[in-house]
Amino acid sequence: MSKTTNSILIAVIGGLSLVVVGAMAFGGLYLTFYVNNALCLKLGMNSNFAKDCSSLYFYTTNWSLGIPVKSYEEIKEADFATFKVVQNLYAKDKNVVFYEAAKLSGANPATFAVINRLYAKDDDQIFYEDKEVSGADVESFSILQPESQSQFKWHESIAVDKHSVYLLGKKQEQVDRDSFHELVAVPEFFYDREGLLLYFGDRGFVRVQGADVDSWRNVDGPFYSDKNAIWLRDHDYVKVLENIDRATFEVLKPEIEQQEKIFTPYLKDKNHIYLFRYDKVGIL
Amino acid sequence: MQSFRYLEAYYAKDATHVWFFGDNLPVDNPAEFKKYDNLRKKYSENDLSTFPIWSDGKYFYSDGMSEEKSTIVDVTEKQ
Repeated sequence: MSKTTNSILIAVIGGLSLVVVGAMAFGGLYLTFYVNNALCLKLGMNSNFAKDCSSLYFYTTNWSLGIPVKSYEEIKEADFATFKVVQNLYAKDKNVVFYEAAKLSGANPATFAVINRLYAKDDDQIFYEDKEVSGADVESFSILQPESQSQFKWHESIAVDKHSVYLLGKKQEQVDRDSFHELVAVPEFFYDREGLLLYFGDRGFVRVQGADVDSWRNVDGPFYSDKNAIWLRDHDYVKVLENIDRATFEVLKPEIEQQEKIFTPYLKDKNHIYLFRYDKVGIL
Repeated sequence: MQSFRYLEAYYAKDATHVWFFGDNLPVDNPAEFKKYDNLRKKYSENDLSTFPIWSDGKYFYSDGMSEEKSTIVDVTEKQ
């Protein structure tokens, strides 16, 4: 065959290939559209809301043996035509705001907006997940920005307005708003003019009575010091370890460095070796 | 107190005692008490525990428990 004939043949084959690929792609799209409508499949709107041809759903995904298993809950009172996802677990229609599959009572869909993963607002209320944050001032409400580079993830949970500090949606009556700050050098601790505060999640801020804020430091693990004493922090309290010499206290490190960071049970000061076990410190 | 050493993984010793997480172990010779990297505890034909094995040269200890010699296996790879 001549070069001209070859070129024509290649062009024809190329053209036919494009037509076939295009037809397959179009056919695939048409098939997907047809199947979705015929079978009324649930299609995700984001990672938590879905719809089929006539209903709306809130869904969660659990993993079983590496396979995602979705469980759907129908949102029965939603207006299908105007329903849309706001963000995260919030959605709305022309009449109602939804948190997951339930109505968010009292929320105005026209002005509703998500603040962060935990908080949202409308024109006159602040919401924490699906609850109203009672007494919060919408105009001045803001999420507290971290001052440190701590890995401790509190920063989405604490908010302030012009009057109060809020933690996980609860007003912290015991905290003074104007003098409230993160203790930058020590993760999980904050302070106000009354003294040291421990961040304790759902239970709010716990005041550490008698601790000196300016000299508060983490020694190692659950052990802290101030200018006067060594302190032990457990989940919901921080207490002075009596009869331990603050100046010579140390948490002993193993002679062979551990691959995994494990709890250190042996402590010492100039007087004794101590064992720390079951949240108690005693002389070994 | 002067000779107290925190060895590794909850084991500590001084001149006269060995402790595991504060519990006194009945070790005859604390001076010889050390970890053996090539020894592993064997539960079954196919299972070798990852707990390190410690010994004073006479008895073996794994996770603070005294072990029968028959359950301890040398897993040194032969060249």
